[in-house]
Amino acid sequence: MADITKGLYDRLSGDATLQGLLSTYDGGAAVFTTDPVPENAVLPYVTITALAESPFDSKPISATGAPGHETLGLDLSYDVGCYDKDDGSATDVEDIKVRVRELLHRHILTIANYTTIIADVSGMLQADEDGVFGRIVTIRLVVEEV
Amino acid sequence: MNRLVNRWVAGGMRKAIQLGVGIAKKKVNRSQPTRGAKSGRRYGLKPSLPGTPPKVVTSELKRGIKGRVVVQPGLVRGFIGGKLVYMAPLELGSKKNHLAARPFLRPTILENKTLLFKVIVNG
Repeated sequence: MADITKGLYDRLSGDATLQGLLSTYDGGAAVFTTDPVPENAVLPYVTITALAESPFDSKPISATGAPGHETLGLDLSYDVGCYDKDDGSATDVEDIKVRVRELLHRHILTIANYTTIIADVSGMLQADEDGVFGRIVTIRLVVEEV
Repeated sequence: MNRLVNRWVAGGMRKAIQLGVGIAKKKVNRSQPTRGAKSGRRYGLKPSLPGTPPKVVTSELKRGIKGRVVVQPGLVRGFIGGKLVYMAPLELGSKKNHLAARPFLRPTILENKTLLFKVIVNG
């Protein structure tokens, strides 16, 4: 799971366009894999949190039924939350959400020890609160162990 | 024919939603020691970790998880959720209150989608 979270983090934090839309934290783009984010984090920022995980394994396929040909994989869902200050317009948070989708949807992520089979960004949950605009998209990742 | 299909799918959906509600209730049925305040309110002493389903304090959340099936011509929709005001902040987190998300509804669907789909199809 840590490898996969890192793959997502690297993809988002390494993009110059997204960096321009987010605040900075610790010298880099404000992309967090912790929830809640650190107290001193400044909006706008992006969070990556695991949502669900289930196995994605194949059955043995040898003619004799002997083990050894099965593949091991994971079917994972992550929430990517985009948050910004409520300054009367949600344009900025929408721009962040659009960029996140562009970066992750149908993109073969570079993940240590895994190969990406499916990367599918779906939905958009509106998570607005007093003073904060929130947009949450969910990415479904199907990965296979290398 | 369409009405028959609709009725068949609606029957399967009702069973799937019933099953989903049961799974969601099981997810939040994790106990923890609690303490009562003078106000009568109860507090959990070992709350769930961020990212994991919430633990029981009063069982209100567990009782509050409900299912609903809406049948329209050519369309059958199933919902799992509830009306408690703190359900959404638990599911999605709250940046304003610095509350981490403890999702329990969407993981129920995502982790059991194959099973739930089978129940819908088999009626």
